[in-house]
Amino acid sequence: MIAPLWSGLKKVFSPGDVTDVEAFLLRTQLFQGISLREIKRISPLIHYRTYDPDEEVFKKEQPGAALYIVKEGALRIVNPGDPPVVITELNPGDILGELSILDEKPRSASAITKGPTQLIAFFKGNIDDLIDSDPQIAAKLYRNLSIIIGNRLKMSNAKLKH
Amino acid sequence: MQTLTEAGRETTERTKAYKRSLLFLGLAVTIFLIWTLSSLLLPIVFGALLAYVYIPVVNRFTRYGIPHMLGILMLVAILFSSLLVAFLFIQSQIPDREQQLELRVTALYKLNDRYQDIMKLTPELDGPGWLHNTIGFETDPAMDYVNSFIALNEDERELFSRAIENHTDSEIIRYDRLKKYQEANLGLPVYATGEILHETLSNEGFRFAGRSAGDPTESGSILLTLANSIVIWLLMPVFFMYFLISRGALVKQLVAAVPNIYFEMTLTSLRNVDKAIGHYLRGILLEMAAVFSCYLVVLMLLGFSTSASVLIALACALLNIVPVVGSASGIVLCIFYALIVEDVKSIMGFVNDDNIIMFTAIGAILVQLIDNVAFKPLILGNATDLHPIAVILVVLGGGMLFGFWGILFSVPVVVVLKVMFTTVHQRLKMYQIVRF
Repeated sequence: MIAPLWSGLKKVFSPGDVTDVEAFLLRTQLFQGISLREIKRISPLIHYRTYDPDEEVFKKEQPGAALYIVKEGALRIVNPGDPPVVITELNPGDILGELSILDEKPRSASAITKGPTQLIAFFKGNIDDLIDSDPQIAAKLYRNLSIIIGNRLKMSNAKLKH
Repeated sequence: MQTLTEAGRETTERTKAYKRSLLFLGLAVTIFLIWTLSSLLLPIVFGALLAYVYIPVVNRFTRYGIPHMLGILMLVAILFSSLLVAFLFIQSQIPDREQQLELRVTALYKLNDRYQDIMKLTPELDGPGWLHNTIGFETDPAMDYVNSFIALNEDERELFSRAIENHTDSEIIRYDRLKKYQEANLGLPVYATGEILHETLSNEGFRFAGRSAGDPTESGSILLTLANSIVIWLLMPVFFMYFLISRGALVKQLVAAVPNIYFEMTLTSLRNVDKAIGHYLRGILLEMAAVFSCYLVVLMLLGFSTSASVLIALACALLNIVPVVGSASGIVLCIFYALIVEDVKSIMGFVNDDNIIMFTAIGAILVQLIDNVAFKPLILGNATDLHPIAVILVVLGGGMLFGFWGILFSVPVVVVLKVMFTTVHQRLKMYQIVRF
């Protein structure tokens, strides 16, 4: 009699099974310090996108509205021109389009897939809403985002010095 | 190799043709469903719009740690309790059978007294005034039409006479006056033909358009229609809850079906539409509350009874949803009540029975002015404005398609559609998907 009651209570208070995507997000830099329960709260905001090889995720100068995390495959961040310049390559776990979460300025470069690619997308509007509905989660996300952007800036500075 | 390419091309062509057929079929089925289930459409749309208005409230509950589903249930409980209280209040203010008869006798007397006065139709005068000679051929049938609705039939006259005889001593003045009104009403003419109104109404052959009292078959069908519309409107809270519960899931499914090129554009368009519609609908509710308060204050200052002021203010606030037409109807409603009201005891000493119509008209126009100058610009802004001619066309079209509810809600629905189309159009240009 006690055992079923206990297992029922455990079900109510435990965060539940971990899906592939949640396990993947727990390992990413953007979700450092964010618990599984918190990830489950924001999982309804996740959009899954699948891209063919050489497909554009976004174009330079387009308004930015989403942040992406590479789940599978790889991408090139390209400055279009003649010839186009590859700025960097991104692999699973990397994020792209992070600046769109902070402001509404146009994209600074284009993102093109190298092969079949799966991305996890978060819409800027939903992240903005998190500030009101779940301020603690939003604060952790913005802190991680600041760290990622800071690291990228350091890397760019280091590249410039060399 | 050549054959393989040919085969590939044929498959692509077949796929395109298949997709086109599906699209065509989907459109045809959608149009057919909208046409045949048009009576169901309005409760669904209304449920969705109401869900939009209350989404921030559910979000606020979530912020305080209340689970989403519990928040929705709490909201529904609060809304239904408020509706029940409002319904019980309105029901208690609606006059009973005897009061209705008194009201109709008074209304018939006052309306015709004023009409005859304006048109100079009183027997003491030599003949009709110039106004009657000019527009009488239009206004006489209209008055006959209104009279046929208000006048008592034989059974009602008998019931009314019994009520007058059974009065208590304290009510003797009021009942004497009502008796005088009823006697005058019995002598009222049908303006268009010169016959006596109550004799003509007793005649079975006489009927004005729309007058169907006393026909059991037709009253039965009215009951059936009422029952049908109640059943249909019961769907509204179901859809309201459904949209509140599954809103995020619906949007996600829609976005998942969108090709990658339109992904971000779809998200931002939906967001903008969402904000605009929410802002507009919440604004409408706020404006209704403001207009209701203004009408209530004005009517009570003029000396109308509290129950009449509340009911008229409520009706005017509801009618105000329909721009232009609704505002005008609100003013007409107030003036109509001022025509039949008696023993006005206003706290403003200069208002009396003789000038109540003028002051009511001024008051109602003033409320509309305040609404147009202050409430509308402050609450709604001008982003969702429709051209006055478009408003009239939309209201007429809504009325033809969905009857009374179509008249009331066609403008908000069209405003929502307008916001959707303009936002998508702008975003298509911004994302360089189309070029104009």
